[in-house]
Amino acid sequence: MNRLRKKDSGLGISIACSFLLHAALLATFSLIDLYPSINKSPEPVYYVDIVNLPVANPRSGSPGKEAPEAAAAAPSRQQEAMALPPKPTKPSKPVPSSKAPKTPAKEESSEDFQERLAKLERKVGRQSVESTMADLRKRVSAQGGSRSGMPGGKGTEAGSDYASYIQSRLRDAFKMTIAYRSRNPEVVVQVFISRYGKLSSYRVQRSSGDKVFEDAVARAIDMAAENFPPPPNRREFQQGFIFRPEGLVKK
Amino acid sequence: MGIFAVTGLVVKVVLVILCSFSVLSLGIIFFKFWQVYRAKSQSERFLEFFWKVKRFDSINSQLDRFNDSPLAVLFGEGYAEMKKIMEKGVEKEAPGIISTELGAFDNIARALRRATTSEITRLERMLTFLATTGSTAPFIGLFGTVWGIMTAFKGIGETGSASLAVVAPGIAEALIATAVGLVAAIPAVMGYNHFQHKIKVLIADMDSFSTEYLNIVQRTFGK
Repeated sequence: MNRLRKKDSGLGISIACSFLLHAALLATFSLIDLYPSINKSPEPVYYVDIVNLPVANPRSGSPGKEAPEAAAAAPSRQQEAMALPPKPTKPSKPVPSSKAPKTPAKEESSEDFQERLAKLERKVGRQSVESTMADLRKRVSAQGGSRSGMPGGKGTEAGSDYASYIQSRLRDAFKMTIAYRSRNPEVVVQVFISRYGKLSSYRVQRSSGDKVFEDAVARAIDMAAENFPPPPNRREFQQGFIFRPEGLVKK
Repeated sequence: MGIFAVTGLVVKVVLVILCSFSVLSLGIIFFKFWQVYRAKSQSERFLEFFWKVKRFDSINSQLDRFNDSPLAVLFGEGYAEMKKIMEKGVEKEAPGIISTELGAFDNIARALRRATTSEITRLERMLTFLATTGSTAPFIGLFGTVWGIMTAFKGIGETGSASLAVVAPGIAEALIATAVGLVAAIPAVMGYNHFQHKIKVLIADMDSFSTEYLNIVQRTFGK
């Protein structure tokens, strides 16, 4: 009878092994970070945004004394551009001739008319180009606030606005990772970039409470940080960004 | 891990239950593999030893070598019952003889049957958990899925947007519950079917051995 009552040993060890195996699998999945890799794009995407120019206003530079002067210079040019009045096109008055015109004169007037028409067309085209340019200048000067331009720049340097460039990279990455659950979440993040272009750290200054959205923001920053160029003049860079479902803006 | 962190409470509970099921069922599968393998290999060795030695008392003294063999258990039970009957025979001054008049062979057969039942119970222990896991884990996962989709639709209603960015997280957490349910259920079903087959073979071996044992006892010790 003793044989029939024998106990099976080894179940505890088996369950411990199973637990360890599960833990190892979970750790492996966590390490390779399976889920974000689905969204990751191996090839960097380069684009030129001609509407929201990355160069906000090279003249204005970073906050400084020169900036208002430089900014002040822009409107005068705009006014100049805007001051161009569209000249009213005078229709060629038909010369009242009492007598019946001769046939050679008739031929000459039609040639003149064609010439004048071509001139008018050119003028109208030029005016529309000028008005478009004036619009663009107006938009550019509107974006060129006190914080635009190169960090530490005086508005005279050639080059792009680093903060706007970082913003464009973040926006690009954020498009791929965006996810949210609450209505209109908003996260304010301060990004710190080292002098070598590496993401030193980022700090959530204002949380939205939406974990999904914050996770998407964090993944976007990590993704964008892979291709950050070094800041101008090899200085450490920091900038706040406000992430919203519709995009992100500089703080 | 990240996806687990963002799931709701209900889906978290579902995932914890499913993970527990998975850990336990895999542990049982490991244990059963070891148990059935030992039972099979020791039974083969015992049968070889049984046919080679042929002396019951010698075999009985060596039974400890085949601790995990169900056939060795059967032999031990049969031999113990046979000894008792033979001791009664000594009292009646007929040593070494088993009388058929008192149904002594039926006693041995009953002892063998009881040992067989006991061994089947031992071998089949915990297989019901595998069956339960295999049949219920997908449903528990499905429950998590349904709950996740409900949450996703609620999210659409709250945000007022049906974009992929709003729908995708809910669907993802919903699907992870189904995936974990299937991960728990598939090995459990496979293990259950495998062990059922192996145990059936061992039961057939036990039945054959019981018959053979009774035949030998009747041939050798019967009056």
